[in-house]
Amino acid sequence: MRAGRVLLVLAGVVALGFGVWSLLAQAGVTGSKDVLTWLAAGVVGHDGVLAPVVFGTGWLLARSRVRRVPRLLGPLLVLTGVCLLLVVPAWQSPAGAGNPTVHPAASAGQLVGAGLAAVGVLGAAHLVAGRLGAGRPGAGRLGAGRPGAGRLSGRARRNGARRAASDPSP
Amino acid sequence: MGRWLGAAIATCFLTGLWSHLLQHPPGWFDLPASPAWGYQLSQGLHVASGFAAVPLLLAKLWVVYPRLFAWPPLRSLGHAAERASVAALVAAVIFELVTGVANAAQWYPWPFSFTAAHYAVAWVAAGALCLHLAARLPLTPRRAGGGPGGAGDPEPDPEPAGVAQGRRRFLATAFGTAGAVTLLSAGQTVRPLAPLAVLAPRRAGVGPQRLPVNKTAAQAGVRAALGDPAYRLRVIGPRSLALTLAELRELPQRTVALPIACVEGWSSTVVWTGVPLRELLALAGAPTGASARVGSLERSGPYRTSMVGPTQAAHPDTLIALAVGGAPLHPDHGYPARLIAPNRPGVLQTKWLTRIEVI
Repeated sequence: MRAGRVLLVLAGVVALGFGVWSLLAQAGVTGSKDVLTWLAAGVVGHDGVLAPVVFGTGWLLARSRVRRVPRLLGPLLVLTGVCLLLVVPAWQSPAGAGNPTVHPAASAGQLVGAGLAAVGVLGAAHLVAGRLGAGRPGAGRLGAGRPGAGRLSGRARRNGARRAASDPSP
Repeated sequence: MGRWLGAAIATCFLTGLWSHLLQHPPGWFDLPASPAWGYQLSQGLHVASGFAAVPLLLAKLWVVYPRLFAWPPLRSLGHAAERASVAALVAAVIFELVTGVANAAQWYPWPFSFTAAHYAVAWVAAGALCLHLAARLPLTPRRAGGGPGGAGDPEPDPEPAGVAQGRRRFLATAFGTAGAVTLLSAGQTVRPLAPLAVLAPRRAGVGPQRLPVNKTAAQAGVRAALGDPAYRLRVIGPRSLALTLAELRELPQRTVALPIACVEGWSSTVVWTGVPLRELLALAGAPTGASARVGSLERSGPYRTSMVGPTQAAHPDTLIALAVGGAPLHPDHGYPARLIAPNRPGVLQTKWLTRIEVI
């Protein structure tokens, strides 16, 4: 364990150092400052805007008096939101001007259609996950169902012979 | 969740390094010519895993988001270092995915070079991930034997079934979204999925001669020069040549099906016809093992010239293509002549050739 940790630290420091050196060498100090600005903007954009919107929406859905709808609405909102994030660059890009082979980015209607189609995929995935869970001893005792609380490893809890530990991965 | 996200990021990192090596080969590196579909596969994986990583990253960030407000924020020097590595990791991975998705759409709203920044920050992300894993390594669950988590521990308290169901629903949403995003974008490489590719800016088989275009002749500023009767393809070597298009067509031709695969993730396999580059180099008196530098009619742009290393230059399937699908090249595909070589990034398949220099 200790040797692995030392190796990881060494590899991490070398990779980080090479990345910073490479950035400075190729982008210069001014370009590196611009990159740093975008690095920070990404974190602020997620932690300060996107995550609060998601958690706020989740809070509202969880307190909705309509019991059936939110089960589908949540995944649908997530999928549509992710698709929106992915097509915004295509909407903004000038690449399509004068190039007929650039396919128009998905319209809002197409996204809704794709979202509806994906409900089937999500439903199937949910069904499969449910069946896998139902066929496993100890099913029904896995983790927590809210963001931030589901950090327990399912395999580690089989028959109570193993205790779940915090997920070490990022 | 973390493992799947880690696998996606690792795939992105490794295929990205490979793409960077192919596009910016150091002097000691000779681009391999086989398998012909090598870059099509590696770059297709790069973009697909990047797209799939977006919902996985968001799900992971939302799972750990409450920890952002843990109090006290710093408990020790080690804890501070760990949180710093997490901050670098999150910032770098968000940066990589945002700039990568934007590049797939050829949208560059930033003032810096995409290639340089994307490459450098990829190393930052990899380094921060290693440091983060090192910090968390002692917390990895033990799967057997004694000690914490061993078989002798008492059974943990049961949790409500509704909580487990919610957790499964959350995971199903994350993985289902990742699968759906892959399905909705893979059509830019996988032709049967093209009708579903609403997230892809280009689709296999769509374009003049059933082939997409990254930069048109008009966008490259070469349109006016394409009909010039004085056009010659100059091959500079010990016995320099200047060949008209008609003379090129009279040389022995070779027809081969090769994919063209672009860094943005799209690719398409079509049938090319042209003169093998090695035949032209031989006519120009190039020695065995020679490299070549090909040049375009383009007056500016980082890819108006490219190097063809010894292996690809000697490969019989590396062509100075004059036709695609049995018809003369469309102006947007490089008329009158273009380079097409196996296992080569699309940006290096130089179009509108006017010069080949023996190196």
